[in-house]
Amino acid sequence: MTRTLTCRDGVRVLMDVTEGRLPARRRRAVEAHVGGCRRCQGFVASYRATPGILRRATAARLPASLGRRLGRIVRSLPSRP
Amino acid sequence: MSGPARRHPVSRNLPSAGLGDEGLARRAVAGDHEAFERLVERYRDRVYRLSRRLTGSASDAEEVLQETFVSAYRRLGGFRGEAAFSTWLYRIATNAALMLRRGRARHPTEPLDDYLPRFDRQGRHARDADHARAADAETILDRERLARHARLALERLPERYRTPFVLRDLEELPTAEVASVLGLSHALVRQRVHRARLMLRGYLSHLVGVEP
Repeated sequence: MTRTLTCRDGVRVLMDVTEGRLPARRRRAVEAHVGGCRRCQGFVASYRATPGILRRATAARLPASLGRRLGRIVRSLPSRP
Repeated sequence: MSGPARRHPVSRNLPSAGLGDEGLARRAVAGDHEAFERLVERYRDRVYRLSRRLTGSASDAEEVLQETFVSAYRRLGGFRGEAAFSTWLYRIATNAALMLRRGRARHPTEPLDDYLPRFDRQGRHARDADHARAADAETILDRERLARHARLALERLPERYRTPFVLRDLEELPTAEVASVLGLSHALVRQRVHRARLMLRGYLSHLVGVEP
């Protein structure tokens, strides 16, 4: 007998779902649940968006002055490792 | 002041522009200093960005950046090409960042466990909230505020979750490479990244006024 899939079950395998790694039968069960669950639909949307938001918010550029300083350090290293 | 050409006369005579990482590494071991400089140019931005994300501080990231390339140069003779050069270098950078963090007396931070999703006894989401709202964090929140909180959130992630999350989701390395850098199984990397995402999603929700 198969138990009805819950939101908790779906969240547990969400990474596999979003990356297409779940076996087809399981994936269909999760998709069927999400299709009828407004809370899960919202949850999936925000779960998918999270890495990109964090990536953009924490993107740092190497300061030019530090790049130059690193260049000087590297050039001062011995000629062979 | 001694310039690079005088210190490393060999390097100017060997064209290395078209070589891959491993080829450059071999040349550098053989005394082609320019080859190593090319590797530094190729990876310095990525190593700096990774270091910023892992340490949470510009000055610590600077230290990690320098330490990574100096250490990589010293150990280059031991690079056998069993892993990709990038994996080998990321491992050095990650270890340098983690060592630096561990050596710093950090203020204890509250972990993010409170932001994990909650369920009722039937396994349904406990709250009937706008769960999607966190996806709009970039339009709802001021950019500076979001950046500040994003750094804070990474800081509050326990290290075992932060490092795999940063490598995989922020630096976008494949799971296999993250596993190799950290010496973890693929399954454990995925499990930790998933948990980090859940905590960070909840934290973003909280920031935009929705309790997870």
